[in-house]
Amino acid sequence: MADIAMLLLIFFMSTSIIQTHQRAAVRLPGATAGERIHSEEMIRVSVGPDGEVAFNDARVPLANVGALLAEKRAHHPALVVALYADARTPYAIVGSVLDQLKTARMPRVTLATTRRGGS
Amino acid sequence: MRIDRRRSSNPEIPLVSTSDVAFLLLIFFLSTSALSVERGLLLELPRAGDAPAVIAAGRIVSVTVAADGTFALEGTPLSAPELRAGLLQRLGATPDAVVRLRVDPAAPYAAFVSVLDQVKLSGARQLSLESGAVS
Repeated sequence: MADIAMLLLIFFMSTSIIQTHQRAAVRLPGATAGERIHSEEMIRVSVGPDGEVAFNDARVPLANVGALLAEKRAHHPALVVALYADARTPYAIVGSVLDQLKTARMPRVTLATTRRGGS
Repeated sequence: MRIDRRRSSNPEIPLVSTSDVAFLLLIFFLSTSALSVERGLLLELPRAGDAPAVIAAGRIVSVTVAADGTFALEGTPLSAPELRAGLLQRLGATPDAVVRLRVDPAAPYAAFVSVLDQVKLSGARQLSLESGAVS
């Protein structure tokens, strides 16, 4: 009994460690059509309401996003971007990040959202 | 003097409470990890070198997002469910319609995502994104 409990415990501990670096500063927009994000080979690009951009948790200047992503892509060709942008961010900043993804040749991007009931 | 050799009772580590602790931690990790399912809208952006697509005017459905976050379908302001209904109607008439989404640079990202959500829900497969002032 205790063996099974320990086994499950270790499983849940190891899977939930991935979630510890969740950003507190970003308030995601709500959407109903959101699909599950698969987190293997994923880079988390977060955009704050004032245009501060971070890769996983490291801050980067907005103008260098494309160049840095192209560099990362050279090392990991299967890398997928998940964009965690704050709901209050002006579209101009998000649009600029999307443009840079395009030039960095990383066309697959997931816009992270929170679940919203109904429509 | 005689040495008592019968005192060697087999030693044990008390493990009775271990399962209690394990279950408690198990329930804690179960409850915290169930909350962290992450969701998102998948976008496939055009590649940088791609030639711009030429689309017949009849296939274009124009949706705009203004600076205050309100949106309009072909110039008529709508709510989110009305937008989906309007898009569904257009897609019923032209199934290969392309949604042209023009977003004001000052519009909040949340408004863009809610329009994108409605576009996804309506089943439109192709989307053209542009940024520019919406009056």
